Amino acid sequence: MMTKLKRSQSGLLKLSLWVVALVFIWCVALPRFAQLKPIRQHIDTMHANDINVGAMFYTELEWQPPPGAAWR
Amino acid sequence: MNDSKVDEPRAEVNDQQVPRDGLTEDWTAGVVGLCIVLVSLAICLATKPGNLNWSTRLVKAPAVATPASEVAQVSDTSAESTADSTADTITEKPKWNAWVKGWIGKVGQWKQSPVEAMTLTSTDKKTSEKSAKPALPGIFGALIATLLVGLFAVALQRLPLSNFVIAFPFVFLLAVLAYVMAKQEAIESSNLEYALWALLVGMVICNTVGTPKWLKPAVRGELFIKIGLVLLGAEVLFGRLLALGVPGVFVAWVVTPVVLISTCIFGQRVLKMESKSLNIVISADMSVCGVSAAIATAAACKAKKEELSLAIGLSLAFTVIMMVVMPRVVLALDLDPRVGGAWIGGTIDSTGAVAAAGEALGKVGSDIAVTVKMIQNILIGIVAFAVAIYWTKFVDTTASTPAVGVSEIWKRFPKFVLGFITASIVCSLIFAASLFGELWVDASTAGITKPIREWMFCLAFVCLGLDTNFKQLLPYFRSGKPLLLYVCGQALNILLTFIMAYLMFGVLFKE
Repeated sequence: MMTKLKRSQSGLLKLSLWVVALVFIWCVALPRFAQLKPIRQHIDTMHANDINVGAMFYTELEWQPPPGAAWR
Repeated sequence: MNDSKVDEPRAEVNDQQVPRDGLTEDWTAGVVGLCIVLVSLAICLATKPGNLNWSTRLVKAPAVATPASEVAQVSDTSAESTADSTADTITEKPKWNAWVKGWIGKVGQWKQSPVEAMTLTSTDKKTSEKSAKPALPGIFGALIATLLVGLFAVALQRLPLSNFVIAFPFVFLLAVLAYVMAKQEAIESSNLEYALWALLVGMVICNTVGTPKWLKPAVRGELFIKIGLVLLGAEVLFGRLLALGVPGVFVAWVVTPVVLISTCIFGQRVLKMESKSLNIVISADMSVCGVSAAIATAAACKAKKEELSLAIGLSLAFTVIMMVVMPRVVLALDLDPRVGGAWIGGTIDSTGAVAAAGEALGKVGSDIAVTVKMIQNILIGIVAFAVAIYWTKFVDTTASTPAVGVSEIWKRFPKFVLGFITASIVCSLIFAASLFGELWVDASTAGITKPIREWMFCLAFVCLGLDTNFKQLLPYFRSGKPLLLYVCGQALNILLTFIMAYLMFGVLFKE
């Protein structure tokens, strides 16, 4: 019973540490990183050209295949 | 990694989720996925633009209007035929949106605070005006849509619906959290896709407090992946294959299989990879198109979840590096933008990263890069089918049944792949029939199947994370073989794609 309780407390502590680390990275470190000149330039260029860098498949891009791209 | 690890059972479904007399997971995914595709096509048909029919053709708008005097000289007969032809011709593609488009949404990109993710901003291309709308209705729509899809699947499997309904919203919340993490502007512009963060979110919970028992009925990673793959089939349109003509086919469809097979043989014979499924998943995601190819191949060969996680991690890490390095190399070598574009499109794993890297080469280079990647994307249908057949016939055999007959192949074949192929063939045929078909499929995909597919994949990766212990991943890192396989395979890919891109776009089809 005690071991189970200890294990659950240690699990909660680990989870809290993870949450603190992730909140710090996403809410403090990454916004600052995004302000570095080369990163800002890259982000602005992608925005200006409507490029979805996170696209997994071509249908997720804001991009139209060239005219005649359909085979019929 | 030792052999005992490799031979662990692959289907990790907990006891309470084993279907008694319902459909198996493969059949369920196939049926659910195809139903969504058909319903989506039917919904879109109900809102087709009035001036569009099966014989409508797209023509170039005349540069100069015909003077009235010339029109008056046209004889009655020819005037009639002109009227007939113009009735079926249009000069601009009409907008065809499913009336439900926007009902299923995602979180928005954010800069400073995650709260910004709850607002979707867009810029009008013509007026450059910015507009903002709340993301919550779209996220709620996604919750309802994915819950209904899940319930349909669970009902087909004759599993308890109430347990699923209680657990699902919590898994969905974790998927929303993963999307919020992926939408931080620095993360999104680095091509670190939501799959990675969904895995991390799930793994953090699994490896700290553990996945609660009551959540398990909705932790259906494999089912969500298979449904997502059948929906992906609707986006694999073979009509796009000849978008760049012969050179595009040679760069994307000749080099890619050669690299895939060579890497696989190298992994098996030279590196002596313990897991054949890990070998093929890494080879496919490196040579074809990153995460989507990894998902399709892993499902086709029934790879373990940690193998898929590892392959995706490797692919995303190298994609970030290649996205930065490749355009600089192309510019340093002063390559023709067409050759450079084809090289980038054929080598960088992820589609978004190809678009980002291609941007440095200008409009022509960028278009070629993304088009080559699009043609490569289509290859995943063939790869998944071929891997499923090969695995069933030659790999997934036991000592007791060395000779595999047709019935045995059918028994072992991952049936959801049939749903994937059927969705692809149906949509490819409609797409190829006419302009009407092309716009119909585009409307169906953009408005319904694609958003559901993206959420299904995100949910799937959250579930895989909720089922993965960090310790299970360690043996793969210790040997270093997966990393070596990726690096060697990518080196071959870079070399062969360069030769083919130069030959095709720089020598044989220069104009």
